[in-house]
Amino acid sequence: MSRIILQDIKKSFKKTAVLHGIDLEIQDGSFTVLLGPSGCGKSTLLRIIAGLEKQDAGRLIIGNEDVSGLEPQDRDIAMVFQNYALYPHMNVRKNIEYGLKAKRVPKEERQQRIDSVVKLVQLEDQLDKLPAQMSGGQRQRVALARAIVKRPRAFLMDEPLSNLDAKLRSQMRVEIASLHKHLGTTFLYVTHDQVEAMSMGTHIVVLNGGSIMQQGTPREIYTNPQNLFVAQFIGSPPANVLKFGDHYAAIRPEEIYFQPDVGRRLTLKGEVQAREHLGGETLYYVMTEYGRMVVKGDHFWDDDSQTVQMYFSEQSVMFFDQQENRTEVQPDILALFSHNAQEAVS
Amino acid sequence: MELQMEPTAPAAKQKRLRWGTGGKHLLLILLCLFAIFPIYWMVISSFKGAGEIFNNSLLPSSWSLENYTYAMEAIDIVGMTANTLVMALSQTILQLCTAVMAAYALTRWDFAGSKLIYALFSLTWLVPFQAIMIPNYTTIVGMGFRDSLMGVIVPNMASAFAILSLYPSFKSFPKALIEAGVMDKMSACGVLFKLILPNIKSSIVSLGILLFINSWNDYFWPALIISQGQTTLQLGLRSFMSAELTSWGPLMAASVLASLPILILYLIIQKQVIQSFVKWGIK
Repeated sequence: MSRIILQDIKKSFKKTAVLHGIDLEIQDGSFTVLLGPSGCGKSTLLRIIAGLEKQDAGRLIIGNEDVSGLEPQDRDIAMVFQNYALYPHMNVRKNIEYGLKAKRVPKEERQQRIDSVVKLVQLEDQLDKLPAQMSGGQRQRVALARAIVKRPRAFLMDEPLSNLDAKLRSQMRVEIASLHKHLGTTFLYVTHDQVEAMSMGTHIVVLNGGSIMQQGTPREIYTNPQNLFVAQFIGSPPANVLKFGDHYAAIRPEEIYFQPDVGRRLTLKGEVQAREHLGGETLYYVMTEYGRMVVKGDHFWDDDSQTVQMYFSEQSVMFFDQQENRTEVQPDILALFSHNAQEAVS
Repeated sequence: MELQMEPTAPAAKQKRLRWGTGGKHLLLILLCLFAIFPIYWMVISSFKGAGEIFNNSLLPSSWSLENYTYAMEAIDIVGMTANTLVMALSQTILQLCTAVMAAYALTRWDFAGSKLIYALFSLTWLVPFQAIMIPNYTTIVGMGFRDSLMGVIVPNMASAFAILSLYPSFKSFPKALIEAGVMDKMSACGVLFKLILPNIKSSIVSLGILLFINSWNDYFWPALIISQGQTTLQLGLRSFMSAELTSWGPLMAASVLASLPILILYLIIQKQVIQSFVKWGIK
């Protein structure tokens, strides 16, 4: 059992409160992603779990053990750092081996473990290289290997892909996700990139301003945001938000269409202000009488019509109250968009 | 017009550049001569006979070794070299040790008063030697170290300059690396010896060279402490000088011998020496 339980974790730097009492249970074997904009406290939370930062209040339990007061090296967890933090004066083998030596693992077993881990991260022929002689992607693999070889109770990863270029990043996303499947150990992964969170995580914890905004599976987070922040943070581009009196209505750009269809019972007229052709799809920036909206649609390279009619379903509209929390369907707002669907289809 | 101007402009620029570098080289050559001449003069004077010593000739008319034999007989050059070596080496090693410890403590932990201590170190460096030599002298004499190498070494066991020089290397050492080490079960000592020091080796070595040369050349403090006991080379040279008569020939010969070890050291590790002077921004 290596679930991680946080109870009312608080942290301030000088007089600035960074974490306002975090309660969280990270399931054993899950790939949990701490997601949020920079400054939301996600890295601090990870560092507190690692023991590199001391919480001002609250308890931290790993497995069944209260580790709140333990030093980082006694928590039996491994960390992968943003800039890899490989020992520059040691070659790959020594970098991977160091943690095992410190744990007093006998030489033969060390050898075995290193052999299997380098195979896992495909570094078999790189063992004698120094970190400075390797590319960013390879260094990242070494950093992963160094963590994996220790067989910790949990892996903590602090934006490990942010220093890689876009192509390598998407490749490593797949690799890290399959590593997690292979190892079955708890992964706790910090990122500000919602694509990483959605694609790799089995659980996502969205943080903002030192508080948890929502947690759940990627599907729950995407389809059922509990507040306006999550709706606007998740999705690329994020959900369109329109303000109506005391309430907000939000619609995802990919759930708006330019063609009528059964079920798309709502409609809105707008003026296209800009188009962003992304190849496979196009982003349309449309000004409506309620505000600007983004629509993600098929590309029509030659179509440059200015006035468009947008169609969407009633289920695709999410409502939030004045406190920006999710609220029940507001029929009077829906009424503003409604039209006779039958008429549109015919 | 414009078409004609274009090809001439780069040529003029090139010409100016040539004159510029030429002038710079000339200046550098002059400065080099300026620096080398005293050494050259010392060496050739040491080979001049007694009659020639005040001569302006750039080469001795006959090369003689009498100054060297005289100097060797007059003072115990081998013994003095050994004393100087002991003094310079132990000062260098001790100063490096204390500087490493101090810089590590100051940069790794944010303890109460760390800023104050750093400020005090900086201030110590600014206090001129002349201001503290008398108090230091009475302290050392009180400890019973008068007329011994110990007395020379003890106040030089720590150097504010060394601490301040190493401080930036420690300060700029990546925090994440230290944290990675901590997560790998490195102790505070482990982080210092297995992680930081191997990676700032070149800074340590170049600072060491600088400290060694400084200690080797030290004259005033040893002169205060040592009267006849464990004399260092720089003090030995003094015995050729007096108010009435200075025996220039043997003095120059002894000076050559005194600078020989440093010169040899310099030739062996020339590159690092230059780097360390550049690095710490001196001379």
